[in-house]
Amino acid sequence: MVYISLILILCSSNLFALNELPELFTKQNIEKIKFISKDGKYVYYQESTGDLVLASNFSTKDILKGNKNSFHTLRSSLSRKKIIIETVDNFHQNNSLVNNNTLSVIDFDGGNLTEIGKGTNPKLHLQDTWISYYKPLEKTIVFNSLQIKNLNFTIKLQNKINPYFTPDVEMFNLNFVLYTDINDEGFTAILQYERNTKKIDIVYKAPQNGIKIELCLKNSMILIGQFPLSDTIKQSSIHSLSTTSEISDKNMKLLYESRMSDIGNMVCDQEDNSLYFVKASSEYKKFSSFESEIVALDLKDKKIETLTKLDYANQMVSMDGNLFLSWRGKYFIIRGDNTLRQDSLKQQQPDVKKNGEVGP
Amino acid sequence: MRKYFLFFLPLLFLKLTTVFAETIPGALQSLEKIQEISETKVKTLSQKTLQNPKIIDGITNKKSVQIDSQFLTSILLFSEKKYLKLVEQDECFFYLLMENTLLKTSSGPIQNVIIRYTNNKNKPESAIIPTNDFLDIIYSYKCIQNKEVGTLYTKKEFLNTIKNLDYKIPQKASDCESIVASWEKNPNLIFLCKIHETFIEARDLQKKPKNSVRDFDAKIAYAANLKQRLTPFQYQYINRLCENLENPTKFCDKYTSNSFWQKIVSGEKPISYFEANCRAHLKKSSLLSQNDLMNCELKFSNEPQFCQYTGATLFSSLVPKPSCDNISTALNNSRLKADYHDCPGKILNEGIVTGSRIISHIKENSVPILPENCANAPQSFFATLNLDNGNSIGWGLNLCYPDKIEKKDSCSPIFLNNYGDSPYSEGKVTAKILYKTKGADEKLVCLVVSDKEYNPAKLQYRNGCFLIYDSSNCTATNCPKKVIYNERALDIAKYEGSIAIDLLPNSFKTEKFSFINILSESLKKTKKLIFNMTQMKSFFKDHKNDIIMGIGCSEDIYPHFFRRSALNQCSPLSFIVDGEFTLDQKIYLVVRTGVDDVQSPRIVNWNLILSGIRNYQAVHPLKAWNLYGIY
Repeated sequence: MVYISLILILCSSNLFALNELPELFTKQNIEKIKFISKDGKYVYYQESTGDLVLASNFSTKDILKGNKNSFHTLRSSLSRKKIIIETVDNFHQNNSLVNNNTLSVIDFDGGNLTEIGKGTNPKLHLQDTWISYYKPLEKTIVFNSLQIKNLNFTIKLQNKINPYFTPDVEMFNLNFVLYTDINDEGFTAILQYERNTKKIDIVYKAPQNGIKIELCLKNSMILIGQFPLSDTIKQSSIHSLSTTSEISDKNMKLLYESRMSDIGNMVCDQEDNSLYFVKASSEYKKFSSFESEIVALDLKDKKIETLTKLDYANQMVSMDGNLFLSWRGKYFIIRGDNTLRQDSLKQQQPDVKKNGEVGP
Repeated sequence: MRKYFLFFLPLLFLKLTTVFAETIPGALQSLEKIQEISETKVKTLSQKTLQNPKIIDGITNKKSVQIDSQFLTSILLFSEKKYLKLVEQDECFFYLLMENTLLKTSSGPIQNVIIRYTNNKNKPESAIIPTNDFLDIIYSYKCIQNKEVGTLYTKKEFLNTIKNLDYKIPQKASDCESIVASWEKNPNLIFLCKIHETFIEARDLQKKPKNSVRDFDAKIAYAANLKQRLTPFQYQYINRLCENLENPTKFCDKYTSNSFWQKIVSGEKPISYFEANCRAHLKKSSLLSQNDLMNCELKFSNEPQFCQYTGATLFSSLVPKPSCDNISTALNNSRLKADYHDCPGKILNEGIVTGSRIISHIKENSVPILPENCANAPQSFFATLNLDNGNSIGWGLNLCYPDKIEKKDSCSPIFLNNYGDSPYSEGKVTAKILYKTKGADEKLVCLVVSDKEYNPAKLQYRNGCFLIYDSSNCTATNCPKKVIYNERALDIAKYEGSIAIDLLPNSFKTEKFSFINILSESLKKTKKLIFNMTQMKSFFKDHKNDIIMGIGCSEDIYPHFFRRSALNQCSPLSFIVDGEFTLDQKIYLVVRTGVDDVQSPRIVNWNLILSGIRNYQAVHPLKAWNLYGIY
């Protein structure tokens, strides 16, 4: 039996001080961990056999059998009712970004494992009563009810131009879904699907091609990020759109804009009133921005707070209320619960070297 | 006569001194002041001469006609220096410039000319006559060739004339002066610069309120029509030339720049590097001419965004691709043999894409650039290398049928398509099974056709063997097909096994069959781990034609495109690094991942590659550092 406990290193007096982010340590190797609940009570990890195991309350429980080449990825929502498991078979030999992986759902505490289907980019909606996922080969978004078996519907995308495109999806009530799609010229748009009528309306189309649109739902607000993928565009913005009024581009309100190529990768599912995203920290005339930091946009006063100072911070993971910075094989805590502090304290700074002389 | 005109410019100062000496004797005038005085004088002169308008027939002694000196001074003061300079070449150019309204006085483009002539009573007289009349007088006894050149630019002859001009392109900086100088001796230049001025006028007009200009619409429409009659190359060339007559280096800059596209035009680099995009731009399937290449170079240079989506459906890959500018920079620093076109978005297996690119680089495979081959050729190269070197476990895809004689299933390795005469082509293996089980012709090959393309009503599908696949469910590793033989659907064989290739070693047990080890064994290559930028720079320095391959998490390599949303989430992505350069003290790599277009490498910062490798190392079964130089 493997006992796993979460050890957060919190030597720093200021949790959020730049360049002083505490590293996430666990007794189990961090690279095996697939999910940690905010209170540290539930820790899911992958054994070397490929099995997915839950460690909780000083005991472990086998969740899913795997093989040596299986690779599990787990996601939840702030509702804390369900956890989605995405399993890639033959992970290291698969050599493909476009896969229909096996998707399963379990209760937050590890019970009731149910296989949902094959696809990728799964997401929980409406207090974990629905799940959506994307079938990249079929270019279809599938919605399954997690309460009523066999209740489902699908939306077929138009995208023919980018085989690696994955739509952003938000189901903000039982009748309406917002999702992104790309047309033949590379323009990204937000579309609204109405379940009752099966009607699809264009809500908003990006002003030019080469711009990605990200969507995320925060309370009753859809946050819409526009970030350039094209190296000829130097403009980023974030708008809000209330779900309680008409879903139309006329009602989009500007929250943030910049003349730089921000990366985006927005995170909404934190408990505070902030939106987190990756902002370009420098701009080169010729190339897309490479230097970036994680920032928080306060949705009330629209102020930006820079949370990292690493030059190349570009991915973060939001997990059950914690927000981790993913950094060269390690994780650092950007937002987390201090009460998780456990049996040892150790501080490690991210090892930042520009144009690195860093070995394996 | 020539001397008379050469007299214009050198004596300009003298003339001005004479003209203005009476105003403020001995004072040095500013140009603005001189212009102002000249304007007043010409105005007075015009009013005076207007009282003596002449028609051409009223002037009997035509050879006595001269431009009034004050009027001439005004021309010299108000015309553009770059055009006046041309008069030094040939006096007749002065009249050509006047004919093409490239000369100006204080009142603007010359409509009427103030002249001095000797009247019937042999007395000097001043008069004002329309420019055309003045030129008729001049052309009646000199510069006859001007008239002839003018006929080449009539509506009827325009296109032909423009097409047949010799648009010399500088190959090096030292060509600039001589090319511009040669144009300056060519009367066609003046007509070309008239065209240029028409565009400038239209551009300036568009900034003004419509009602403020006479014939606004007509002038704009005329310029648009003129532009339409020129090829983009001609349009750019003419504008660049006339804009930079006084600065030949600037004219050459674009042509002698370090652009990869220009290197293709000059024959330094193969056409195939922009053939697909160039054809898409010109909508042309036949052979590309030198003029076509120049047109494409201009398109790529002037519209950097053109490369981002062009050809994206034919040669499917991650889009947007980089801008033409960035592709040019990357290709200038690249060494991978990439004069062909594959399509990662149709193969949908980055291992096969990267592997086949490395094979093509080492073996210098010559691959025809055809959309129908873009997925088959890479599969064939990769499958052949694996199968010929005994990796039937990794490339374990077989087509099996029940062999009635042997009383067991007989299986043959395949890749899921046809290419050339590869014995592993699915169509060839299926035909062989048909030969053995249905007595089909020994030379039969089954054609692979998409369900969208296949139409049994068409004659071409009546006889023979066709493997029909579902276009929405077909990748290089999974592409179920229906066998149709002489219009009958047959269930003669089934797929067994799968493709599970270790591009780089994933276990000690199967290390021998990893792609990089097979490459070392069969193609006699050495692999070398690269741990840092210093080693990478040194590798590129020591091995001029060799490349580096690696695997990292796509979320770190391309964070703009791929988002990480779960702990330890990583989508491994293979890549080739085939160049590096430093700009503003930052190091950039030239990278083609398995999702990128082979001819559109991306410029990636070393730190992103480092993060990608590090994060993949964290979840790798051997905790291996996956970056190797292959030489």
